[in-house]
Amino acid sequence: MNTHVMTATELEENAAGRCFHCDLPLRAASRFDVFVDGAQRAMCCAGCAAVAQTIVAAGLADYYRHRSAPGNRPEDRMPQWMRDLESFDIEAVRERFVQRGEAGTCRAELLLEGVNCPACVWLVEQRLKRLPGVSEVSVNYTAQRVRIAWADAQVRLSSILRTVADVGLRAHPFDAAHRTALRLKDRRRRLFELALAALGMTQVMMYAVPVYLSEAGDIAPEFEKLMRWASLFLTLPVVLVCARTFFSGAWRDLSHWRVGMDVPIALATASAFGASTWATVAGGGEVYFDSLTMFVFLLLGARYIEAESRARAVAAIERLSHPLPATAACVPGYPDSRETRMVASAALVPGDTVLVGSGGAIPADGTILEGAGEVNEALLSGEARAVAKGAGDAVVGGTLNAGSPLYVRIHRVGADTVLAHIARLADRALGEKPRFAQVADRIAGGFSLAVLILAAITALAWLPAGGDGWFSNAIAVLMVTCPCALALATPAALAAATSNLSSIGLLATRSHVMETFARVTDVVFDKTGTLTQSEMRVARIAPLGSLGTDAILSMAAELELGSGHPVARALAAEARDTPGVYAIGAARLTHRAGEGIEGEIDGQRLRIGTRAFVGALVGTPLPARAAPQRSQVLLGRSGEWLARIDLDEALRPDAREALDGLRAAGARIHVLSGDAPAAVYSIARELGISEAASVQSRSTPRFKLEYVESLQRKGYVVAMVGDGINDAPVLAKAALSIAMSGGTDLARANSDMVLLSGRLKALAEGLVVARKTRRVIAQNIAWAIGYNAIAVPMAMMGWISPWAAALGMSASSLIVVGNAARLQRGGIRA
Amino acid sequence: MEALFLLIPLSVAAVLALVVVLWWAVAAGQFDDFEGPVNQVLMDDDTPQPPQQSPQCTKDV
Amino acid sequence: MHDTMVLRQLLFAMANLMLIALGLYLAGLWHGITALERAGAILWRRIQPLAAGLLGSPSVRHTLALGALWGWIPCGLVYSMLLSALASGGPANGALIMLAFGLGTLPNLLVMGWAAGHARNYLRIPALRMGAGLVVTGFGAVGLWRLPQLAKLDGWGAMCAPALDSVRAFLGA
Repeated sequence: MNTHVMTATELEENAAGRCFHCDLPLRAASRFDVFVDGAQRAMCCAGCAAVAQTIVAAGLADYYRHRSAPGNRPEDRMPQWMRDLESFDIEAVRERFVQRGEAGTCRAELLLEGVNCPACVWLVEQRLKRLPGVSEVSVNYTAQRVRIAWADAQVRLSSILRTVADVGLRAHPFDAAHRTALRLKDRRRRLFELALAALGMTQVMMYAVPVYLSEAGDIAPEFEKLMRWASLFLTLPVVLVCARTFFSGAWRDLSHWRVGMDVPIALATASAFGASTWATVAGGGEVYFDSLTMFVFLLLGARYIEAESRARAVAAIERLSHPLPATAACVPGYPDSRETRMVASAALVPGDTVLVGSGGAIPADGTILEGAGEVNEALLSGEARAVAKGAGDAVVGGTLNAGSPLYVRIHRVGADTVLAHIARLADRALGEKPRFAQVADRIAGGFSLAVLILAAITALAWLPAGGDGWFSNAIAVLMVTCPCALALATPAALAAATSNLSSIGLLATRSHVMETFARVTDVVFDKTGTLTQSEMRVARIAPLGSLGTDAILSMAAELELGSGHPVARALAAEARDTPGVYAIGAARLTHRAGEGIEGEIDGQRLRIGTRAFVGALVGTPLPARAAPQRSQVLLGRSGEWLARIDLDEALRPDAREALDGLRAAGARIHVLSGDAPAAVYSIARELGISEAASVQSRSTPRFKLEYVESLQRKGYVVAMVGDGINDAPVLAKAALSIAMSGGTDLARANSDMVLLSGRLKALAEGLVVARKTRRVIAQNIAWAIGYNAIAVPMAMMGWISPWAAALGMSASSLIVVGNAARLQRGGIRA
Repeated sequence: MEALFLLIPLSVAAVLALVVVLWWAVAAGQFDDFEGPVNQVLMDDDTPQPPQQSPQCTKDV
Repeated sequence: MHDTMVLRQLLFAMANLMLIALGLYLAGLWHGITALERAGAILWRRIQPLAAGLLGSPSVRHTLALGALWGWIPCGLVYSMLLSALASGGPANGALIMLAFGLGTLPNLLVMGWAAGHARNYLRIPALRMGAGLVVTGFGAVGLWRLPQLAKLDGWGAMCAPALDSVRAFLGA
């Protein structure tokens, strides 16, 4: 074979005499020039010139370079989009979205494009799992994301992406802007298809009405023929464009030997269109264009509402993950120089100082160094609630500075920020398939198969009767059935409810949350930090021993340093404000959850905490003083009680309302606290809790655990509300764990649900929503069963014509989806 | 009645023209935001006002 | 149905005239056909961006669409075949004509992308081109000669009837 790559000179020579494109001799008269590869090339005719120009315009000028030496380089055989995949293996590109984990594992999040049904998603999951080297695959149908973990040494990212491409989907690196663009593109496509189907339906109906209203033979045959042809032309785009989702979904199902929801739909559409076209062309028989277009339109309508509902749920959560500003004003010379330098937020590292102007968004998690004002934490709580912040206060990346400029030192960036954590938690919830969704999928599959069989039976049964009856009745059966309650409406209901909850500040991090929340019978509250504000205040330091208040405060603050407990924060705040406090080193600090902290200062062992805990070290009983009315912590060392520190804590302003709301919903309230009885009981009184047995004071963590266990043994479903840090084991024990969070402690929250704002009332509202969700899903399923049980036999008996079947089915699916959409905050919004 | 031979094809052509317009409208983003324009009409304030310092509200879109 | 015969005869005549012009162009004798191509190029300028976008896409849908657009290329060969297909009087026949055209040009297209020395060299022989061009011109001429008989015959197939008869006689049927 002559593998001869033409050099530049040869190209020049040839150009004189032969057409660059087809190699025929040039004629002097007809000479067309096209600019290829850096020079004007002569072509012999307009045709060659046109082709050459198109090739160049398509960016494929390589063709001319390689046609004389094909197959030598594998890149030549790869189409452009595949070559793009290879670029993902380049380190610089990967750095942006691939996280390196331990032992050579890489993690990345990808966005899927082209997802039309749960089956695609399932398929991607299966294929990816089977790739050697891939350790973890988690696909999120709602948000259309895949999270994968793989061993870099065994498989490359481009191979993973190619596997996804094989299924028929495209995977893009997860990029917020890209995702928004993709979502918009998807929404526009759905809207266009819906409007097109509507146009087709209304026009075709107009041509069908005269036929329905007239007696046979009233309309002259040529007009009837004309109208049929017109209907055909108008139905064609509807079938080719709008029904494409159904056809491709059915094809995907069938090519994997599954019968999905799309199969009867595609079958009904295709056969009705085929039969109607045949009837139109051959002149005779029934046409079903009107039923067909109506069917497609109403189905698309139901799916549109469901998709929008899903998009809202995702948007509500997404708001949390990318309001970070693109740039930040870094102050590298702080505090000496106030000069700012604009840098990309992504380039910030912990330790940097930034200046956040008034109205600007804080670029990452950090602490305020200088400045005081208000911060808008709307994205955490769902409300524009300005929170006062001053020097020393922590701020969350993404919140808005509503007051005067702040200097902030960055502590956490990128994947470590609170927002990133929230997004991951939310993702986890959306990614796990709730139990009823999995069950629903299986049932929907079996259902569709049953429908196909019934339609076949109907066709066979009606054949002997002659005429068109067998076809129209079979079509009617295919069209009238509605498995939508399961396949469409349950996810829609869950998505709507989830978005509702997140808009009131309740973030579900597990998929079972909605289900469990609805069944809750008892709610157990921790007191400190949960029912009471997370900020306590030191009210009084009463020395019990030889040390003065300054010394006591210094020691206490030092011991509590690093603890996230409200007591610790109160002590730290007090220590900051007291001039006489000095820094001491404390060594060998041990924390005992619910009891206190022990440490060594100047060689002495000290304990700070509950009476029992400190008493164990001191050895002597506590001198009797007036029974404390407030929360207190005690400080003591071996042989000596040093101090009693009284702390003020205020109840959260909406605590009473929240508990009233929960009670009104039928839940029983319990309060468990490690504090002294007086403090606990006074709060319980304020909250209107009357049963003494439900209020427990001086509870150790062990006691709390047993309490919850005993409730659950009785068959009650317990939701526990705590601050997530100190009550971790107890929270884990409860059926539903709800963590309070001021936002900055989120990283340690491991519970099923997080209350992002401090609004306890959201709990009551959330319980109502969860119960309503359960009711709605039950309603939908009941409706689906009832409707199908009545409609299918009627269609088999021939009492329903195809257009009525289409109408009925679509109305049923709209009812179900609309019912689900009711769960959104603010009612139905398409 | 012969007019129908003209009118029906004409109506089909009209629908096709509508489809083209629809395509343009969707592609040009006319339907992207259903709530914005509604609120804009209400919130448009033509009276001259001094600049305000109110915190920004992030509402659910 | 009454007046269409004249139309068909007209189309048939035009198609054969095109064939003659095409044959002469291929043989290298007369290139009047390029004037038609230039006219077509004006329309092509609008279509070309669409085609450029589709070129190179591996998707089946895009390839089919590209094929549909490609028929508008300002090429004399394509125009004459299109006219013949139009004159054949039926969608099935027209499609068959275009299919035959595609198959006929396929070998040359395959070879153009292949660096084989031999076949390419064969195609360069001037005598071969002249011969091929004259055969095509012959087809056009024969078609024109049979024009009056079109009323009795039905499409291209009928033109081959005498040839088919002689083959049948040869085989002793």
